[in-house]
Amino acid sequence: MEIGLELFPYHLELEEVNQTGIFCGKIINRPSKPVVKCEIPAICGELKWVRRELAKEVVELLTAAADGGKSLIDASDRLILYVEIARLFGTLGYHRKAAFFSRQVAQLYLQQENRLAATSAMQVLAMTTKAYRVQSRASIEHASSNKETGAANYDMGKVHQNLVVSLFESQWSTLQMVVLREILLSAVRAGDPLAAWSAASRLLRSYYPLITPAGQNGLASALTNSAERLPSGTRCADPALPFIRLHSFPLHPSQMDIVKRNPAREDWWAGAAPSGPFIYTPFSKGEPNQSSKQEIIWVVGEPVQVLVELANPCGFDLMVDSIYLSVQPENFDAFPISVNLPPNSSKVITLSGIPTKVGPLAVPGCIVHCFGVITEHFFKDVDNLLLGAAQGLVLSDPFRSCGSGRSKNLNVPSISVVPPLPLLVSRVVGGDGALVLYEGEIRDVSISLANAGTLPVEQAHISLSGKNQDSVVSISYDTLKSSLPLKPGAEVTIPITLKAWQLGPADPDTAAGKNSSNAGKQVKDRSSPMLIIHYAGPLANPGETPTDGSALPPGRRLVIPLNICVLQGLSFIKARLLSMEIPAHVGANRSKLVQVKHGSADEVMDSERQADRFMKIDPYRGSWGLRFLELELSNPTDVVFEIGVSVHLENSNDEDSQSSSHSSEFHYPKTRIDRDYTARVLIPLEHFKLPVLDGSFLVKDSQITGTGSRSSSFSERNTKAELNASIKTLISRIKVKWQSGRNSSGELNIKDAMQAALQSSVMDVLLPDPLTFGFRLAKSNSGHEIKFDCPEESDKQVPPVLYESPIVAHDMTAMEVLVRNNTKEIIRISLSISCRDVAGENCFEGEKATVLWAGVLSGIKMEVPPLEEIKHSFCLYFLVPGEYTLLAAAVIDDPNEILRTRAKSNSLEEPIFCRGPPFHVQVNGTV
Amino acid sequence: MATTACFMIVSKNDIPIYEAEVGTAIKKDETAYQHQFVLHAALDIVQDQAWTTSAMFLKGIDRFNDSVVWVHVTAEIHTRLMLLHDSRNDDGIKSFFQEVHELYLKTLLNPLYLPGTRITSSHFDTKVRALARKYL
Repeated sequence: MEIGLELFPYHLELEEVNQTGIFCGKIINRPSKPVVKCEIPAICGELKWVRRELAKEVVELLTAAADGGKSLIDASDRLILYVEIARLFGTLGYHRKAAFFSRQVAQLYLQQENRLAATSAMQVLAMTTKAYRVQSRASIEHASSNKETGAANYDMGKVHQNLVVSLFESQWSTLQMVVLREILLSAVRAGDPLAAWSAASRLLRSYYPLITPAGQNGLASALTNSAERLPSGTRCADPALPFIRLHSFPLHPSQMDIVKRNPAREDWWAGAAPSGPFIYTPFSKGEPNQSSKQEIIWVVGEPVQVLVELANPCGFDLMVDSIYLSVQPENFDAFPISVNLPPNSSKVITLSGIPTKVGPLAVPGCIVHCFGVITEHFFKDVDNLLLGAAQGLVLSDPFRSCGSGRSKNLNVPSISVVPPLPLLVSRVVGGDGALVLYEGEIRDVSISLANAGTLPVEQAHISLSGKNQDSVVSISYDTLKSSLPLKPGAEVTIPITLKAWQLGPADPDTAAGKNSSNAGKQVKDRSSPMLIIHYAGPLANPGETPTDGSALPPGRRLVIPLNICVLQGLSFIKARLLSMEIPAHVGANRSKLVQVKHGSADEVMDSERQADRFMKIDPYRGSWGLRFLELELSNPTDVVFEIGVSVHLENSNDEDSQSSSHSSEFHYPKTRIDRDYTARVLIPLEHFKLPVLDGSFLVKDSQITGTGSRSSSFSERNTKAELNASIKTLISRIKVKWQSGRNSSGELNIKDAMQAALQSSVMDVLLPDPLTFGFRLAKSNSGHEIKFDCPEESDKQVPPVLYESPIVAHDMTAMEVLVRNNTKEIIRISLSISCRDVAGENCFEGEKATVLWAGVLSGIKMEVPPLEEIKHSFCLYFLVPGEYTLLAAAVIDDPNEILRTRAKSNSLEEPIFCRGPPFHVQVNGTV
Repeated sequence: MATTACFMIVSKNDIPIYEAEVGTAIKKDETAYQHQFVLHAALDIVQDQAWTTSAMFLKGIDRFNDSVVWVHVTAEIHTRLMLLHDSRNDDGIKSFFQEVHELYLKTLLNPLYLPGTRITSSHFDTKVRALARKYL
């Protein structure tokens, strides 16, 4: 068979056809007109004869033919020869061989300087791309769509798996770049801008690390030039730059959390989300699938965000005209944004959009408009690329070369879109900044909640979470409840009372002390409590009938962090119990004892309480065994604090006209503590004395001596509990409040310290002595008496500045000693009175006795009825003017258990002494 | 006589794991990748022929223009040592392959070398170039 095509400057002399279907022949070289005589199997249609078994022979023949081509002078001859060889190799399944010769063909075409030849070269080269693995994605898509038509494959990455694999499986980068460059060249020459763009983008995207910056710039301008010739809005299957990877799906901002509703429970949110501080609890229901495959719920009509990271590893400024999420199915309004990426840089950007329909969604990639052409970038491709880079198979990791961190192994969550839900938006009224509070400060805050959704809020519940939940003193639950259902657009303001917590020693800023520049740091720490509002819309979506519980629309959770920045305020140093002893003056100490005369215990109590209000540290009234709670406070801040102590009075009696006019709180004058100063605040504890020495505290104590150890330990515990309870009530009645500036005020929380200070001597604080002694001038003595009978009426607030004693020397002064029994039983005593001068000498006895007396002064036997007082009169005659001290003392006969315990005496034989406080007597000289 | 030669080690996945231009002639860019194209194309033939013979040394398996492709198929994980050369010094090439194979085996023994990845050892490169000067 003679192949006599005119184009062919050679002809083949075919001698025979052997049984294998291969024509045998030989090459005959003729110097003038070369005639190739070779063995070419079935060139014209007999290709079916080429069999794999004879591949070796065919290859030898073709190789020989190619060798022969070398001697062909006319390029066209060689071109045709190579075309045929390439075809035959292709038929044989030797794709790389075929590609090799195809490329030779393309080169021969490119030698011809015309557009048609360039188009041919481009087309021939396009056929080689598969063997060299530099295919355009368009060709792969075409092939795959032929194979699996109509298969809705959301996971587009899978389709391109082999492309990506080829990218890093084949390291023939030199060849690939050469081929792509030749395609680009031929496309430019052929005037096919899209092919040129595609080749340039593949070249740039895959081989940028091997291309010099100048070359990269050249490619970028090639892309731009090609795009200029393309109509705007042209799409290309091959993405260029930038590299895009999924960074993260920001979980719902805390304002938009979605919580599954549990229809069976009143607290429908329970169990749906971890509510405690621990992310994992061993008791929570284990759902192993949950951890591996995250599920994200988007809501129709609410904007969502996805973070993607862009990288430009090339040496030129990359202007991304627009980038937006590509979502399948396309029930999504994406918002495009434009980004500028400097050379060798990466950027995390937020892409957002609004889902428009209910159903599952997938975000396989982004649509990018860059270099004038619209391309789709799949996250999967870059993931595979990065995987290859991690294994050292790919040239370079574009993100790492841009200085971006290693990618997190991000699980692409499955996304489902749910019907619209109500949406509460919170706002702190008066600014969203952190509340700066001093320790213990109490502040009212209002939080406004607005329904920004399209459905009404029908259920809402507030709970607290996080640290320092105690700091939320009160939340007005009723305000929220009463405003339900909250219509779309409606707003409700919820008042909340906050109390700043104490900074613990672990808090970093405590050490820094007053350094207020640290204030900013604390805002961020997680010690603030959070308000969690679970809310839900109607039980059924509008337009649907209420279905069974399984299809309840989910509820939502709104987390409102209360940004509280606690500054160190007044710091409490210590508390201790002090006792102060001020001798009273005879004649002035009317208040307590005089009123006792009225009789009943109730009245005594009242009058004593009333007296409490007037109690001041009055040196003329005297105070024996007065106990103070001393609080040492320091002010390390740079503002001034004022301390006010108030005591809650227990039995304010309405019948009493005086007490009804006052509140039941008694306020002491304020103490001011300047910055950097320490101050002590004294709280008199006299108010807390019980009016009657009752057995209730002590009897148990005394009984235990007789009973067995078990019951004793029981009663001991009982007593202790009672004691603690009494301490607690005592402490709870004392409030130490502070104020700083106009707005800041609070209360010091020093209960523990006070308790510690009081623990040891609470008995002394609470219990009165069994006997109270008092001296006064006998009524018959003088007219002055009346004046002193009612000192409180003359001047309640200001104690008399000047006190004049009515007692003069060389005069018989009639006096009375008053003894009051504070117990509920009769006490028999033997009273004695002594008088001492300033030197402490006994004035009644001895050689130089300076006081004469009439009446009985020692060994006075008397019986004091319970809760009553008796008086004993005597007269004194002072020989020398000056100051004397009168003392009354008594030995109690047959003391009962109460008295014994009160006196803390152990043995039965020991006599119980009772001493009164000293009373001063100022004796004036004769006028 | 100035010779040009391109030596390449191709792993079983047809990935070049080592390549070197070992000719004495001044090489041009054009020819450099031309050699690679020839070697790449020859893989098709090697793939077929390696299973038809028990010999490791496949001599003159493919050729293009004046260059001839010589292949040494190793027993380990089907690695192919490929040489594109324009001389026909059989013995030299055979010895070259043997020595390079030994070098390659030593590289494989390196616990830090992961078989199938690119050989980046400069020592290996130097040795191969020295062997090329000696035998080719």
